[in-house]
Amino acid sequence: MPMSTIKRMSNILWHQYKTIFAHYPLALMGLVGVGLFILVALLAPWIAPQNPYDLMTLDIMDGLLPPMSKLGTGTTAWLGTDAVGRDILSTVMYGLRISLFVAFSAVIVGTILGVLLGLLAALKGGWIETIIMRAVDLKVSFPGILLALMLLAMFGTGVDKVIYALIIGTWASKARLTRSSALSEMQKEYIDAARLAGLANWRIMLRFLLPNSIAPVLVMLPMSLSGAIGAEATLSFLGVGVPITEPSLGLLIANGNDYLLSGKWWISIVPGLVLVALVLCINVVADRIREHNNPFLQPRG
Amino acid sequence: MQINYLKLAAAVGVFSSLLASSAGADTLRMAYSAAPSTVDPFKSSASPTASLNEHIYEALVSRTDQPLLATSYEWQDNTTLLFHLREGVTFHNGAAFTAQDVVYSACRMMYRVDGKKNMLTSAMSPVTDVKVIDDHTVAFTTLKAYPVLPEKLKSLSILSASQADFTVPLQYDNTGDCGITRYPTRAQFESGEMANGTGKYTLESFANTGDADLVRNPNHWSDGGNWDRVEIRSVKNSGARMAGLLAGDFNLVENPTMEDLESLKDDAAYSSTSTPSWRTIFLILDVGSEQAPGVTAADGSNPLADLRVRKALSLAVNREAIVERLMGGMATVASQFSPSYREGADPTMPDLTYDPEQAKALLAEAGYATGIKMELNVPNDRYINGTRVAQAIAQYFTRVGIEVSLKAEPWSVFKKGRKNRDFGVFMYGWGHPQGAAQMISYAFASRNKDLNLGVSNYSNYHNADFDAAMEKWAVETDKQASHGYLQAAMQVAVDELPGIPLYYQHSIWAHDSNLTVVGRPDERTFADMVSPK
Repeated sequence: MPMSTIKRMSNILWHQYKTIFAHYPLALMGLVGVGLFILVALLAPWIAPQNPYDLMTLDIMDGLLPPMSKLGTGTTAWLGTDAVGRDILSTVMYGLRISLFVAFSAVIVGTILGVLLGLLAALKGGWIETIIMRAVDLKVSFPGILLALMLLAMFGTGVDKVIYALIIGTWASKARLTRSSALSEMQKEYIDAARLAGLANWRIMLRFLLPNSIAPVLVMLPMSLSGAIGAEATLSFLGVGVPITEPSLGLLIANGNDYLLSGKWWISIVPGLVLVALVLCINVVADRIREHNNPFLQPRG
Repeated sequence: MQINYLKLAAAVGVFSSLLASSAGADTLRMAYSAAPSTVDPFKSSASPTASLNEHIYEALVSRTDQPLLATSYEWQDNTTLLFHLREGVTFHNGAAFTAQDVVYSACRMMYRVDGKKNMLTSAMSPVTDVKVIDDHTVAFTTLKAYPVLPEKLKSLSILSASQADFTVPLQYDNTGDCGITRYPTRAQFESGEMANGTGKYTLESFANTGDADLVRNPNHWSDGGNWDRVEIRSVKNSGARMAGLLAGDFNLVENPTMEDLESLKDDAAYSSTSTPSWRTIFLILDVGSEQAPGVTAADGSNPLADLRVRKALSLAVNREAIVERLMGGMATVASQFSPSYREGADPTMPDLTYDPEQAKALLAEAGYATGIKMELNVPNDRYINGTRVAQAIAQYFTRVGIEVSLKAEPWSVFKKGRKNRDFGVFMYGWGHPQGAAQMISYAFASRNKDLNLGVSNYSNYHNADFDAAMEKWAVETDKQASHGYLQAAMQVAVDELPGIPLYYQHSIWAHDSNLTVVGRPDERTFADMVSPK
């Protein structure tokens, strides 16, 4: 890619960023928050005081210590430990990693799948469209969590299985959205022109239809992300998600849930607050992007 | 204005007496942690069902070897077991209890409703005849020596023959036909019509949710029950059960969590009772297979086949820490596979020691200092603190150089994997209602169909000394001698470790502090273990 293109692209991005976030401090704070969470998740292995997934470093004698206690290894557990001796601060950092990884992979793959199927349905029509759109209807008629629970019960648990379950949860709404905006694009002259020029279907789909009908899906993305984070937390809370020795935020909350009445609040309150903050930050950003793209809410000027 | 103090006092009096009667000093409300499934006493030996049925029906001898409907029993010879029955006992419907009722109940136990097995169908198959000697003596004859029969018969609830149609005299046969034309149906049991035992309580109502109301049987042969009325409810969620206790809906709840108990500590209105139970928690190791599923070593062998590796696994686990830190002291460190306090076990066996350094040395000596990978399977909804204990064990194994991956699954999934022998290492618990040999006779003996040994030998363990001792135990009717054989077999099992004993679970009840609870070791909850202070 030539330098000029990169420069132009970054200029567009910068401009977009300014129009979306300048003069909206709340949304900006959300964006900074999301950035921080992602940074912590990425750097967890280097900045966390303990590797909570390495059974070697854990000791049940360090279990259930309140915040600010010293572990057997000499490190301080700033936010306390859980029943099997995991330092809550480190576990939350690592848990954030798993939660974000699962959510990002599921949403990205699910969106690509959904968009492609939606475009295909709009372009081809006929029985292909019928099959795809009825599949969408079928999927949408199930409550998402119920579907994921059923899938996990069938295929067993594990990080990969959770991602599959969430992909199946996300693709349908994307397909429906893409198809409807693609259908309206299909009426426009440039598509006819492309057809007359003798371009192949796949080329029309990717070169013309995709860039012009993807905007609503992109607006929806951050919302799906926070939805996927919540769904993963729910599945793990119910004990069908990630493995017990590699807890995500949801499983951490479930672990601490048993101790809430006995006054050991830190085990589930800390991951709970982090989960709330993360989803809140994403939602604030998502809200702002949605608002920005809503023609009825454009500032007059 | 004049106030009529008398009226006011009367009103207050009426009101407070109303309060007292609704609070019911003589009603006991219990919350089970799982629902009884039926009032048919022959169907299920599951703890909640058996607990409920024990209020209504009695066996000949209690599970803790106390005389109930039989005052005594003895082996007349190797194959004839005589029960001397209690006189002056009546059923809830007024019929007198005689030897014929025992034959009738044995017939009912062998009778298959819709072809389905009852709880003792297999256990009683060696019984060839049950005979009335006189009104208060009954004889069980077996095909060959079958010394565990009295233990098995502790689950035979006695039902009244007065409500059945048959031709006198009743002739036992092991299909349960016995010339009986009609047995009570499940619906008749549950409506209470045929729930006719000799127990301390009579059934007032039973709902298919498992809720049961019972009232005191005034004609019981002993002093009778402690309570005028007993209400049994089932609340599966431990938090909700505890909330029910705190709200005053229940006087006693089963199986509070350790965490709940801690929150109860500061409240003078409630207390808890913990009793060592007959349940041992242990790991089973596949020592006999060429390849143990889920367990691998660098050289491709089954490391669990090496005794040094098994010893190292046992030495690696700090049982003391598990009991103190994870179980809050509500468990006992294991010295063997049956609880050391179970009748027949040797209580003097030393506790299994913790020495990670020696464990590492043993692994190195065996050539497995590194390279063992192990999948540890555990049910995540079955044992008290089960998954936490499994995580602790994974930590201990990791620390001596074994790479452990923990697989925690719901019981429904876990039990399939166990049955299919998919597990090289798994955590399990076994209650010992039939004596100290129960677990090892099923789990470590070579399969012997005639003597009913080795049905659950998931360790694929075979040892000639162990089998010899178990085979002698299986046919020995003299108690002292049979305990000797059992202890010899247990010693072999503890030396050879086809499994790793961990600890003995305690049963816990949380209750109002004005109640005295004498807990039972067999994990059942019975109204008469509770009395007002």
